Amino acid sequence: MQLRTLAPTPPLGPGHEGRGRQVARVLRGAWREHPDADGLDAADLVGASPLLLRGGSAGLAWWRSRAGQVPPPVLKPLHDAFAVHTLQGAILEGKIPATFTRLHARGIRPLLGKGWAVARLYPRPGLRPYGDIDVYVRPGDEEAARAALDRPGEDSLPVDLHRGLAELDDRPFEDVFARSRTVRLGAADVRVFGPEDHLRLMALHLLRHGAWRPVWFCDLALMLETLPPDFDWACFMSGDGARTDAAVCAVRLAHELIGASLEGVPAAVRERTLPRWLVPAVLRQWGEARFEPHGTRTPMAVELRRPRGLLRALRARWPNAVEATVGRRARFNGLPRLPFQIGECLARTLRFARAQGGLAAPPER
Amino acid sequence: MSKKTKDGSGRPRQRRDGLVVEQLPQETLVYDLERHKAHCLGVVAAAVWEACDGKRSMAEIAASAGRRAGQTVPLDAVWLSLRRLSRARLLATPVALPAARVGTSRREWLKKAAALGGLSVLSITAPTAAQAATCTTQTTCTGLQNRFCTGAPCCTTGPNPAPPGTICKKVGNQNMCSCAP
Repeated sequence: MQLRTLAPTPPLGPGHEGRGRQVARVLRGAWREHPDADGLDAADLVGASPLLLRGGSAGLAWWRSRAGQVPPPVLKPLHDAFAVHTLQGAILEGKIPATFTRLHARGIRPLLGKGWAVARLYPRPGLRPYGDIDVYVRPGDEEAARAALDRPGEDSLPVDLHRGLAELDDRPFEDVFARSRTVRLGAADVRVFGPEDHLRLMALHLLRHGAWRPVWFCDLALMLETLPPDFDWACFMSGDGARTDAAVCAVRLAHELIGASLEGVPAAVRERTLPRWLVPAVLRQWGEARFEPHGTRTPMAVELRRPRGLLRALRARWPNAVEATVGRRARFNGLPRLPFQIGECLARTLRFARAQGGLAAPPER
Repeated sequence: MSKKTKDGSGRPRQRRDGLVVEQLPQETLVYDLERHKAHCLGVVAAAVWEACDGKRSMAEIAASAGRRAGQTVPLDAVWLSLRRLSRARLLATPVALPAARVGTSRREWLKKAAALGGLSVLSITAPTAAQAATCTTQTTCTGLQNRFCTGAPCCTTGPNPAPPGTICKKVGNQNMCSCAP
């Protein structure tokens, strides 16, 4: 494979969207066992590196570009990210059996999703970083699960405990559990979502978070290209109609943005036309280097005590078009998104004000 | 010529405790859980490290490493690797260079390393990847009053990384939250 030379640098295109396009070009096919490095542009790699590092897709960029004539200084930070993610993944993976053993001991039957459940599908550990263990339990089991995980005197586990099925709560827990699969990991049997449920969960989760991490689309692409022969598309598309349409849009986006193969995918998904605003909105988000994702922001309650940074804090919380569409339970159609963004912003403000009043709910992030 | 480790045994021993090791086709990755540092060992350095069982002499390490790496590993390469492994604190006890090699300049060491290949012991700085949408940065966490602790895992990357496996939570009677196991 020959990497195109650094000069002359091609035009980036307009602002954030142009940088987002660079990220998309670098990640094209990067999730595959033997990614095709032809057409990988050194200028894209250099330009996108900070964004790739920030979004957790640097390992994938390294995986695709390692066979090319990439200058070592460009490749090194990507490789280092891969190495660190490999080690962090090994540390976290070692804690999953303990998590399940503790929950099983209390009679709780949890499901594992996202994170390790999808990272294990990649050709190498470390290509898909994750920072916690996403465990889903029946709503009635939440308290017992917390008690089991937070036992005094024992190592605490980096578990993100979900009460119910989060984005899949339009499906009965028992049905989802019945479709789940058991995977042996260390000394424990770990239950992961069935492929139909997991693909839908991943699609809806990425939209809920404004599609800001390109690696989430690589997850979808990888899952689409490694579906089991008995994958039931009718099951994937069952449930709430608006959510199904959103999940279909996410799959189409994975195809449009990074070239996920839609071979074997039903026509209802393949032929879903995306609204014109959607692809540019995601690319702009990918190209936004100063974006503060949910979970890393200083809580608004703290920001309010230092008014100098308030404007920046408010700006960081302005929902993008995807986030606002999901937050307002709207359809992914051709209507302008600004009203939904304003509506979502107002709804968040209201939730925050209520939480401040009672201090019962967690602070608005 | 002295060929002794600092404990006087002269037979270096690989450190085992507090490390997470991942072996990949062309490299061995090591995470130091005590110092929160990652290292990437080249093929020869990894082979030398594996051969350091506290029983083998330098010549035996060279032979064993050669078999593992599938190439001849001269004594110079063993010393270079040990020097680097020792600096990365991947040996149970630090290695003292033999008198004949003490005077060797950094430039000469680098020349030898480049000639031999596969000797690298790279210390990796954590890149600024936001690894999950649900982690709390240590800076944010320690700035929160204890009633606002997020309960989310602390970010292990970024400008102020927290130790892996920690959670932003209230610790004891502290007023502020902490990233704690």
